[in-house]
Amino acid sequence: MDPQAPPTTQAENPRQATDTAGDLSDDFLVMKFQAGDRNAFRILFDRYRERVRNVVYNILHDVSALDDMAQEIFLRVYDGLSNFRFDSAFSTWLYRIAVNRCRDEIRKRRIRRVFSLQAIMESGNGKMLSSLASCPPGEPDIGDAIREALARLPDRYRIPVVLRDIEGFRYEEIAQITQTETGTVKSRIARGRAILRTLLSPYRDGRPLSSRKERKDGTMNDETIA
Amino acid sequence: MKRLRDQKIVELLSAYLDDSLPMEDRRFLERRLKEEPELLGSLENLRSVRDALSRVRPIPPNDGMWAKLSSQLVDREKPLVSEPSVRGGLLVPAAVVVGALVFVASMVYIFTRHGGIIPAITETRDRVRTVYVETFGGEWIMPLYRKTTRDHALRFALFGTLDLDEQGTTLHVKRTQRNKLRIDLGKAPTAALTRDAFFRQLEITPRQRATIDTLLELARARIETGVLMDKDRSLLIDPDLATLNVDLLASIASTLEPAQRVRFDRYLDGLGVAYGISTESKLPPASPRVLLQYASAMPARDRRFVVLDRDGALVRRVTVNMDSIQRAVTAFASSFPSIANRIENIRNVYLMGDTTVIDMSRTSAARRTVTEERADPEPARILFRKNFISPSGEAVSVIIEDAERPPFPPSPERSTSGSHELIVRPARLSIEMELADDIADRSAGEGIQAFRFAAEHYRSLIRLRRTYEDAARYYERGRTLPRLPRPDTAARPRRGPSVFPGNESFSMPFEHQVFPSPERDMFPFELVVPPIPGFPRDSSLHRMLESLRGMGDSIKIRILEKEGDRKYRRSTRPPDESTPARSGKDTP
Repeated sequence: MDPQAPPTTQAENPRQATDTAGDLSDDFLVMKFQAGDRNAFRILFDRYRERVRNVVYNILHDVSALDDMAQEIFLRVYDGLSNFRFDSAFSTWLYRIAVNRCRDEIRKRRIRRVFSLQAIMESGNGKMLSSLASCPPGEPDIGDAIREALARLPDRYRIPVVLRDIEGFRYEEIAQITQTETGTVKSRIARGRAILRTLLSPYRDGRPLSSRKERKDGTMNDETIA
Repeated sequence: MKRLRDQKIVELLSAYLDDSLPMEDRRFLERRLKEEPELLGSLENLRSVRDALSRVRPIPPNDGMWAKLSSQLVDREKPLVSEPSVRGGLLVPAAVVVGALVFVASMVYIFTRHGGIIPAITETRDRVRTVYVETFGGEWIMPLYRKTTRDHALRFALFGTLDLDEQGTTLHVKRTQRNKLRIDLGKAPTAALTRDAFFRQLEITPRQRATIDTLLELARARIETGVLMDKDRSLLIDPDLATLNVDLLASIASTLEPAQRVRFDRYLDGLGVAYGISTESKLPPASPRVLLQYASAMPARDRRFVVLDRDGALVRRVTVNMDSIQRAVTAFASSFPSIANRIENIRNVYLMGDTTVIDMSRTSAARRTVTEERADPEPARILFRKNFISPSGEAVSVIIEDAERPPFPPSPERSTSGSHELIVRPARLSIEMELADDIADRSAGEGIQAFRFAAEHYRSLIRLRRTYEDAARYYERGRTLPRLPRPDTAARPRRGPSVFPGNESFSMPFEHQVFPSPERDMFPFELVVPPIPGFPRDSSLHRMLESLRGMGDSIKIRILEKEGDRKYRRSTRPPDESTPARSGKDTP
């Protein structure tokens, strides 16, 4: 998980060589950053780069926007790190920024889709509707099936499920990241898993995923839980 | 209704999968799972979904992200104040004023916004990084523990001791129950302990391990700057070490979950550690807070040290810069004696001639012999204790504890020549200090010359014993009490190159008489001091006499108010021949 320590100001102080080792905690690195050591940010970046990219991908399912989104998230982190008050773990704070940024993006895309739909309705181009409403079929692989199923989850379920079952956060941490109550997180994870179970059941039986009860944006309705 | 019930069941199953169900719900669900195969099937379905999610492959990494990001970061690094324009004479001072205002505003902002965080971190950074050479007494100082490891830091957290040598001699800086600083140099049992064993024992998670490792790293750096030694073999000890280990221990404990704390407490108990951990079932605080609190407690670069040398203990402000010290150690390594030699010198402090009262070396053949010969089941006692008040307000006590009873009262076999020899015994030197909140800088000759006073008073103790022996012989044999020499100086400590000369004669710095004590069960003899003209009750001489009261449990001192005191009159008279020797009945 931890990356190799990048080159730092070791020439100034030989002892720093051990300080910048990957086993230093996030909080210590944040302190170092706040004390003026900009190299600490590089270590944090290397430590979380891929995790953030994966979270963004699992939430947005859009490879093309992935690196731009991740970069934007880390720029926000960089800007806010001096003011970080240690009220939560750094990783929690980082993921909160990532999740919020993803939510913003989802909101923007929904608006765009509404506009697109209007345009489609006006133009009568039904092919574009189907391409927006469903994900690409991909290879017949369980990983793809899961990603496809995840993409169909409403984001209020998808985000906690991703954070819990893919990223391994605890309920309390997810509550901090998503800024909701722990009980709500538990409930949403349960419902998200239940929807996924429903979505994946045909796949388990060897049949393609159905697209029943889908919204216009391709996500599933709550009724699929029952 | 059914949908709500189903949702509730799904939530229970989901929480059950994550092992986060309360015990009561868990039992309820497990009962239902046994009875309802459908429910079990649902659980397995959910489990398979969860397991499938956990196996989702990560997307291919992008190693080129940093290059792109770093270019944007550079754009964000803007200087606080732009360089003043060279055009126009008024622009430069104006820019300076604006710059100053911006700087002040920035500092106020940082201070109000960040409170104590930034200063603490800045100090920590300065301590590690700033290149600034400050030496002690014009000579180099070097860290005694410049190769400490996190394992050492962990042992320090648990036991509070720092190894001085490989024979088990340790340095222990601690706070007494009366909140005095106590520095012990002596043997102390500590168990061998490593971080790996510790982490295994408490089942520390990787995240906890990262936090604890950071704490230990901070402590390691602190220890490194906490005990120094200068070229003259003085030992410089940071008094804050007394609380550092407890803070560290508490910080480690606060990173643990309640169940781990219970194990930690048992673990400490098993190791014989003097501290216990509260096992209240509170959730641990977030690790950042622990680190922050700990980092905030990091010392300033310019801080006070207790300096122990062959002459005494004093308090000095010393600026410590580890970078410069490390460079000096590297550059002048050949001119420094080895640490082992230095410790050998520092731990053999001779108070009086051939009488070693401070010697932690139990390994020498002579010492082992003496120890074996004088094996005494009686408990340890304070052989010497001296209290001081420094000019700047620190109360200092020098304590010499002995694991064996000193040969007092002297037995006839041992006192044959009229002068009593103390037997060499292993002892533990302790120095207790009550540090004032704020002390001024002082030059080398001032401060607390504890050992110097200790030497003087220890000599007085020896002299009193001799005198007591004379008095005892007088009462036993009916001979005239020998005339005691009058003091030629007031109670002024002797100055010279060393206060630990060999076989130096001395005299009691005041007139006195010694008699068997009426309370001889408690005090074998009594020292009576007549009124001293020109020395009021609060004079330093009286304070010294008062301090003699605490010199051991073998002396009772009475300072007379006036010449006509009955006790003094009687004590100056030859005792009645019929008075039983050392019975104490001749005194009122």
